[in-house]
Amino acid sequence: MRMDAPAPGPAPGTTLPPSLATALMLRVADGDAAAFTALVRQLERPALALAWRTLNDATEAQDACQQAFTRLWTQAHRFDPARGNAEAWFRRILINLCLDRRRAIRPVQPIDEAFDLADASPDPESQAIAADQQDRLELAMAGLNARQRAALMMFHGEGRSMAEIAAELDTTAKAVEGLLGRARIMLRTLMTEGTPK
Amino acid sequence: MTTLSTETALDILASHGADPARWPAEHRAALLALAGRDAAVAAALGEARAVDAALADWLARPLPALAVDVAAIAALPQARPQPARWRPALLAASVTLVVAVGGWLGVESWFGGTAAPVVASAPPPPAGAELAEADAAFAYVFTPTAAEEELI
Repeated sequence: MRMDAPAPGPAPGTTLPPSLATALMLRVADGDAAAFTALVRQLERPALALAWRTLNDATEAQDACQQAFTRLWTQAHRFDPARGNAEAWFRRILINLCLDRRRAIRPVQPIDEAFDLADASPDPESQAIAADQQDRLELAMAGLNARQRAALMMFHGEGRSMAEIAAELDTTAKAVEGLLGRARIMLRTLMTEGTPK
Repeated sequence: MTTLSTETALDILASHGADPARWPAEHRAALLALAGRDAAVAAALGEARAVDAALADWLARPLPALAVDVAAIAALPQARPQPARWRPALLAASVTLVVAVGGWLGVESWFGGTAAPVVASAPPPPAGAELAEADAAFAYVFTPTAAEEELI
């Protein structure tokens, strides 16, 4: 069973003109700092959004993006436009850094304790319900792993296809379907029951 | 419109969510039709909508004020591709080979290039008992042991 439409891209045997990011990246490889600044401005916002939602931590996200752009600059000579566009290359660097970084981070607060805190909201009832929903959502997202959050962000936030996500996570489209399915089930469970399984 | 099993429909809803635009195009119409007549699929569609709503809230949260320090990065030196280490060694080996072959040809020309070709002279074949003894010695020396057979 095929679960996803094919990723958009050039038809076999055809070539597309290089993207703006790729054109800039080729200049960056020649040491052009102005081109690098322009490239950062183009990629920065989506990169920060992806890192923030994957890591669930603003400071960590900023550090991961800084590190990814540093690699883009210092290792620019490694970029090969024949193997893909610059944006895709950068996103793979960023996602790998985020997933590596997340493995090294210990949760600050156990999820059960966090739910206890969320229940003790002092707001009026309607606000308390809304706040409680928001807190539950936030804690439920914190209960997912970084790979699940990255897949949810890419599929629902960026509108990418299963095949595109698979390429960025270095796996298969079928595995991404499983990853998303487990993430959604876990999210629903955490939102309704309040405890991770 | 393709037919769709309940199990396949539930799989699609579980991984893709409730938005028909994100479902595989070839199953879209069949899944919508099935949701209208299959209670399990209809229930799963409702659950998927609730998860989608939660994800929409999560995705709608504004990005914190974050920025990349471009100047700090651009101040760093860029790495440059390193030449492969074997290239000088290969060049040296090539030069050595050319000199050696050239030198050998030069020495040959000093002798007028008329040197008779070297013909390997085979030893005279042993006869009778000597031949049998030589075969036995050869077999003894070159017959592999069991362990060597395994290696071969």
